[in-house]
Amino acid sequence: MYEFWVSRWEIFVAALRFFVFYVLPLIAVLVVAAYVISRIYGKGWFTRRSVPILIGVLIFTFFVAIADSLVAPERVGFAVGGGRLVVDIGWWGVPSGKVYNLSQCMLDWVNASTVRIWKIGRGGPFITVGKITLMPLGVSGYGMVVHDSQWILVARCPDMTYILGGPGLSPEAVYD
Amino acid sequence: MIRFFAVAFGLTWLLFPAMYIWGVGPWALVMMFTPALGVIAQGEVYRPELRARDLLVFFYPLAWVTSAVAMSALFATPEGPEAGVRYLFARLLNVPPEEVPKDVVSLVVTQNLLAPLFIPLAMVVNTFFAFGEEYGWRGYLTPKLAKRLGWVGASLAVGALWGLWHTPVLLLGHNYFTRFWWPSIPLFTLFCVAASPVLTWVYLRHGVWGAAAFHGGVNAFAGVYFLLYPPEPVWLFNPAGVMGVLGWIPLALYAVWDMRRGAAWRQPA
Repeated sequence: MYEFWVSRWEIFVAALRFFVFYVLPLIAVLVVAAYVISRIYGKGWFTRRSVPILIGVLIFTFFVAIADSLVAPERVGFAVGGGRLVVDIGWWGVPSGKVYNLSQCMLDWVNASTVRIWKIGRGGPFITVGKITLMPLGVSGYGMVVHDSQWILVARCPDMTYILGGPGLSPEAVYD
Repeated sequence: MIRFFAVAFGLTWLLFPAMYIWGVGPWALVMMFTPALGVIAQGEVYRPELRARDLLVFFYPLAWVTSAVAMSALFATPEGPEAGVRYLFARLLNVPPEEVPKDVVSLVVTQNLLAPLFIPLAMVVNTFFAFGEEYGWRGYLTPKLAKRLGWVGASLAVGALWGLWHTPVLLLGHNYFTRFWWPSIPLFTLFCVAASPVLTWVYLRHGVWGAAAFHGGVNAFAGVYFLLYPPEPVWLFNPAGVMGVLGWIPLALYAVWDMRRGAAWRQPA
């Protein structure tokens, strides 16, 4: 039996990490480069008027990066094993409270290192929730995949295809 | 020059914790602007002219890659693109080379073969970020030191300082794939000392933007080496290793000879 659950707080922390890891350094590069060019070529990009606007943009970007995590469900996740698949996410089009017999679903396992994840939903590279497509396989479905997933489960159930990944998830973890 | 050094080296080390925790990534691009910020802090801002033809210097480092490959060929036969890519992935992912999926290797090799299509973009992006360094190292510090040491002496001194300035990223595995691998510091300093006369020569002929284009070309084309030689051992068969240093030698000797006779000085500093 394998279970993986993530709290709203963990989603918030993941959003914060995404901002700090990816967005903040890019902003820093752009600001520093613009400052250097502005000083050397006398462009006057950094004035009493533009600096507060820049700070405002930074704050706005920060809130955009974390906003959806503030309205996330209190707990999202899934469980698989013991003959059952439970999906309880209820966010970005992924249903909640769904329970299937594994015999109803066709399961495929994909090694996470061999695919790239395209998504419509939330999440940087840490927690991805929503409509997920595994490339280059072209397999689409709804679900969640978390950073450090080694295996991704593609479960084709009667009403929906689920794509699920979590740390430690593997065929052995499910069938043992 | 104190403020220049304090900012160029100090800011770099201030970025070290961020790079250690969050990965080198874009923080290294911020770091590349610290020498330019040093010049601004020193209050000796100058305005280098940007001429389109100087950007073509971006392609000169292909001569260095060719030289490094030629030097390597004296010691080992090329293994072809797949072996190089496989070794790189294995080092980055910390897995045995045979565990890197064949499809991934083929995809990356194909991407590399398509790389020439992206040369215009690579030229602009790499030149722009290298400008942050060259504005300080070649445009400011080298002429300052040249007044006392001559162009060749200044090139070697700046090369050593420039190499040591890279210490924070070297400690985080940049160029040599292993974190806190201490030999990376003297090895890369040697690399910079060997490369520096060539960059000074380019600076004297093509100005700061020319040197930035050259530096950008080094960053852009160094990976071509891996298409022929896997980085094994990493200190030897690596564009930033001994073979890369040897690759600079003939170019540096020409640059030194040309600077000594004064012929390189066709462009006012």
